[in-house]
Amino acid sequence: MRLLLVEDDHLLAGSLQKELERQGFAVDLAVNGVDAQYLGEVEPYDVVVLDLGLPQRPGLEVLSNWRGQGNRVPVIILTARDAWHERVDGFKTGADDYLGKPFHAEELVARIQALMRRSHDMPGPLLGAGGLELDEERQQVRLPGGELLDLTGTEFRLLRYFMLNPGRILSKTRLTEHVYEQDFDRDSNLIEVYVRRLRDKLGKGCIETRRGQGYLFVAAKE
Amino acid sequence: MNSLERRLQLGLVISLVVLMGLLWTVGNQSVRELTEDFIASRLEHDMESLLGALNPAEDRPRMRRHRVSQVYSQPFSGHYFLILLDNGSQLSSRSLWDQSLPVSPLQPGERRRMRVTGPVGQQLLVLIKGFRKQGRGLTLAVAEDLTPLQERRNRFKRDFALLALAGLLSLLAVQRLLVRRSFRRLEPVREDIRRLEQGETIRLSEQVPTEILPLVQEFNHLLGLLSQRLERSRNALGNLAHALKSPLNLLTQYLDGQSSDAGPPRQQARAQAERIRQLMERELKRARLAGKGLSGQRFDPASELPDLIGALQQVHRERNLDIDAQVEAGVSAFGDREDMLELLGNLLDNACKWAASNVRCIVSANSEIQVRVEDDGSGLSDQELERMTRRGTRLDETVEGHGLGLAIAKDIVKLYGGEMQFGRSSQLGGLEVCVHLPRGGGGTG
Repeated sequence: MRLLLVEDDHLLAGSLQKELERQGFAVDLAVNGVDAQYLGEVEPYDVVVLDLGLPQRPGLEVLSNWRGQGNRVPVIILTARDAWHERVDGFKTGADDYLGKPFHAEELVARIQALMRRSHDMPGPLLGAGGLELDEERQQVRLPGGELLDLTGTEFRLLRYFMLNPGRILSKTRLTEHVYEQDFDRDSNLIEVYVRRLRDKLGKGCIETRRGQGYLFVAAKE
Repeated sequence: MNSLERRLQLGLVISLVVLMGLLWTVGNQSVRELTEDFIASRLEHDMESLLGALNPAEDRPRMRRHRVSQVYSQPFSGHYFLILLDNGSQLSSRSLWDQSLPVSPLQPGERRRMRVTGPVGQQLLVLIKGFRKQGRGLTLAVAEDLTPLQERRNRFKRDFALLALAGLLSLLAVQRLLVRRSFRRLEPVREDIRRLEQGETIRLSEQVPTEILPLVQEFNHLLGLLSQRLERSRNALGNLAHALKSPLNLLTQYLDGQSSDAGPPRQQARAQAERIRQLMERELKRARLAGKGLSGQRFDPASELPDLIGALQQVHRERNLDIDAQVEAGVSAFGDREDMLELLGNLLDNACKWAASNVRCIVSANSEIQVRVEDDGSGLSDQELERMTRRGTRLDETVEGHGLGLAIAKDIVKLYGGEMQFGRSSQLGGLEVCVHLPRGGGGTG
């Protein structure tokens, strides 16, 4: 999951970035409105966490510009300006969720996960697809038989992206883009390695290879 | 006595009455003196001709009739004379008939003027003089009736009084008209102030009479200052909130980041950080309230409420709530936009938190604005309801979870001089919060 964190307070941004990465997000950080808007325009983010009081360009203007360009990336506004009139304005501009500061990191993560499921048409408290259930808190996967398996960080990221897009062919490039942050040294072979590992854990048939196209998440085999 | 019009009228009445009274007295006095002097001089002439017609040489004085005017012959004609000789005999005009005049003899050269009541009630002016003719001392009194003159004078007095009264009344009427007309020019100012109160304008028009222009200008100056100050303090508070929230946020992150079984001290610190957050939130929100009276934008429920409901639906999306909002026809804009959004936002947010699936909000208006928010949650027990309704109880200390939002809502209602009641929703079964807000600025309009 690629996540753009827009926050001008370096201390908070640093600690938040660490926490979000721990939760399996590939986080890019922007510390001003202009950079944020540019990154949002060129990178295929899955979610944006947007502060409103930004240097150079106000957060609401950034959001309004994205929406004006037809960019529908899910946006959570995270701000100290949490009066109701500000929330109303935020939602009217096109935000998908709104969280007032100060906040608990778990709440932010829970909201991001809920927003992810929503934007992939998967309502419900847990991410489940193809008979698998993903415990995002513990980064474990529950097999149809009830068995719990631990996942490494990258395995978790990759499986989550597969599970959010079941039945869709995902190219290696796309997987790389959504699993690793911007300045990660991308080597598409890595994806092959991790797909193989997932197959080992979940069963051979759960991820099919479409030659020349990419991978397809189907379902876990008993 | 605070009406300028009354004051002006009273001043005018007093000065006019004094002036008219003075004129009336002086005029009467002069007319009276003038007529009496005139009659006296006529009597003097009569006296001279009588003296000429008198032959006092004999024992009984004689008059040469043909030299005496006819008026002295007709009985009670109003013109009389009486002559006293030093030997005690007297001669009176025929007109006196059987009456006499109260005259005592005078030394030659003496002269007296007096007023007496004569025959048939006539008011007489009597002129008496002492003479010496052909060696004999005699006293001659001539009298004339003043009644006809007095009647004329009374008529003049009455006419003058009537005229003065009419003049007074018409002057008052003219003045009233003028004053009214001048004050009517103040009407636009009053209208402006009403519109200001309703938030339809932010300044008074300066197209006013010169006399009150400085007042209006000063008023506008203060208005500008006030809204500037409100803007500035709102901004300052916003910045302060921003500045305070970031470190607090870090603190929260830090405390959250530790393993949860780190023992009581950390739990305590976490609880305190949460308390600081709540206190700060409430105080900052309270300080940001604009209150009734002047403000930039009014809250128009018909257009704003749907947006607010939209925001709430997004916030509580996971809950799949059915939020029903109705604004009755004829509810015009009221209150400050930010304040009202905060009030309704907090009430509805609270309802959404506790609702099972339904939230309803009805905004209506008659003599006051009424906002009712109901939910179908578990509501409150009778005891809790009673505790919340009790005066002076701090909301955030009473019912767990219904804390901050309702406390802020209560602050807003209080600031607007309204009332907030808690009850059980008869239709949905959960909590019902009913807010009454007075219309307009402060009871007017």
